[in-house]
Amino acid sequence: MKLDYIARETFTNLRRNVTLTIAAIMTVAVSLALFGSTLLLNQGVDNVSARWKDGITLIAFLKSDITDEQRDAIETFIDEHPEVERWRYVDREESHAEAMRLFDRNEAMKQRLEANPELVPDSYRLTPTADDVDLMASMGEELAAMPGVLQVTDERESVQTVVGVSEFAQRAMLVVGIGLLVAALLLILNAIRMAMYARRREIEVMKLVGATNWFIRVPFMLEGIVQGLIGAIFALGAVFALDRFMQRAAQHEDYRAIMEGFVATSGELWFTVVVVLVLGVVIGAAGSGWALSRFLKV
Amino acid sequence: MITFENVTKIYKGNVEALRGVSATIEKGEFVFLVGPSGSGKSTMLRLINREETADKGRIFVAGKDIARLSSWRVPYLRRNIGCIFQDYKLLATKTVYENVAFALEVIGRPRNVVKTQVPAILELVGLESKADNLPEELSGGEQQRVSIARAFVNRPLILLADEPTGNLDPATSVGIMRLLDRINRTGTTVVMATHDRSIVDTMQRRVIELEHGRIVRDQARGVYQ
Ligand SMILES: Nc1ncnc2c1ncn2[C@@H]1O[C@H](COP(=O)(O)OP(=O)(O)OP(=O)(O)O)[C@@H](O)[C@H]1O
Ligand SMILES: [Mg+2]
Repeated sequence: MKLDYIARETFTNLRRNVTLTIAAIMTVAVSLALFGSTLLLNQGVDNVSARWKDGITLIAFLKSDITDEQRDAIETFIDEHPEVERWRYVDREESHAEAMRLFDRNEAMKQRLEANPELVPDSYRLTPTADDVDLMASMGEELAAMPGVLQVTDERESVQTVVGVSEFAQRAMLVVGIGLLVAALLLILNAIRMAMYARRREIEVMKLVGATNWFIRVPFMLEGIVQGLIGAIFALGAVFALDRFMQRAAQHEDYRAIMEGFVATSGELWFTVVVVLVLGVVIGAAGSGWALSRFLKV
Repeated sequence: MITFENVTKIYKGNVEALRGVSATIEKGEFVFLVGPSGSGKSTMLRLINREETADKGRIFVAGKDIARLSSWRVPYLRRNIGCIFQDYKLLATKTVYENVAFALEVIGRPRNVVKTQVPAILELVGLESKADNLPEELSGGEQQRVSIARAFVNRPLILLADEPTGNLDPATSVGIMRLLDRINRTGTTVVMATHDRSIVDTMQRRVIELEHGRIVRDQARGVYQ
């Protein structure tokens, strides 16, 4: 009986306050959509950065039939160049692990990689001392011409641009997201306050006849939590849409090289989902808890 | 059942509503609180169910120093104290039956208890035929009966009544007093604040008179004066 009482009261409150409830839900939705998107992008940027960690900007992929002499020649060539601060040899196993991570949700690609491990070649990864694009470019051309080298990529500029833009976007979204989160909290606070006002006579009678504080509070707490949760569910719609957009972009010929790193793994996507839902519940509980502690006197 | 020991109550703005009030009310007594407006009658009642707390002195209800009750136990104190008011405090959207049932539901009484207790108490106050009416469809006297039913349905030890006949004509008031008398005869302690001279004079019960927050008279089988 307690359960159906609580469910009934919570639902009645939500319905009675419909405009304020909708405003609260929408604000939660927008703020959490921004938050969730930031989180998703942030993890994408981490993926990209991981690939270029240590400031690696030049990658020389090697042919699978490369000989030891050709390898030695390449290493000597690199060592002779003072503008290379350090370099690293990445073997097939590491490259394979990296590719599997990048293509976490691209089953077709994963299967192809599993079947033909040689698709992902070994590579040398070089970090320059100077930030001299031309020098690196000319060195890259020389490297590419050496026997045993499959291909040389210098994705520094494009990656930096994308990372830079995305970091700016993230920061802007975070600021707006936090602002809206505060607005959402205040709206929930007010929605609960209105609900308490609408039910002030009931509350008065409940206190008089000896209803416990817990009993009086629960429907209002639940009302706030439901608002937060519904907002979070709408926000997840936006997060999934963003994720799909990123996946599409990553499949597009022109942006593939840059975008594929940005696609979050399924683990990261679910992490974002959980964070958004928890945040929704927390905002709802905090808003209603705040209203109750301020306006419900024992 | 209720003991005031040197109780002082000071509201915000330095209003001294009670100044060193001491009184003991035994189980099963019927006590009138009288005195001019602002003398502290309602304050005394609100202190008993801990709607307010005393600034000085101690108050015992059913043997417990209620200042020492932690806030989560206050609701359990209130389950032993029924309250009725001049303005009834009924819920306008609920029927008579629902208003009374509400008092049991919100303290977690099981459904079958509600189903047997509510009709029984409505019969006691003579409103079984109005169970499905809304408060606005009742006369003032009938509304006060509903509020008495709600206050008494949980069989409290104490019934506090703050000017329960304040809005009623003399004939209806007599009916309400008969009901309160009946409730008192079941062993329930009744404390009633009132300005109604004729009621106090005809009932011939204990009278505590307050003036400026002090007890100026405490008389068994007293009159309004
Ligand atoms: N919540 C409050 N805050 C501040 N002052 C209050 C409060 N309640 C009562 N008072 C003051 O305390 C004094 C006693 O008030 P109380 O309500 O106890 O009087 P009363 O005897 O019940 O009067 P009445 O017969 O008019 O109901 C009055 O001066 C009143 O203004
Ligand atoms: Mg009063």
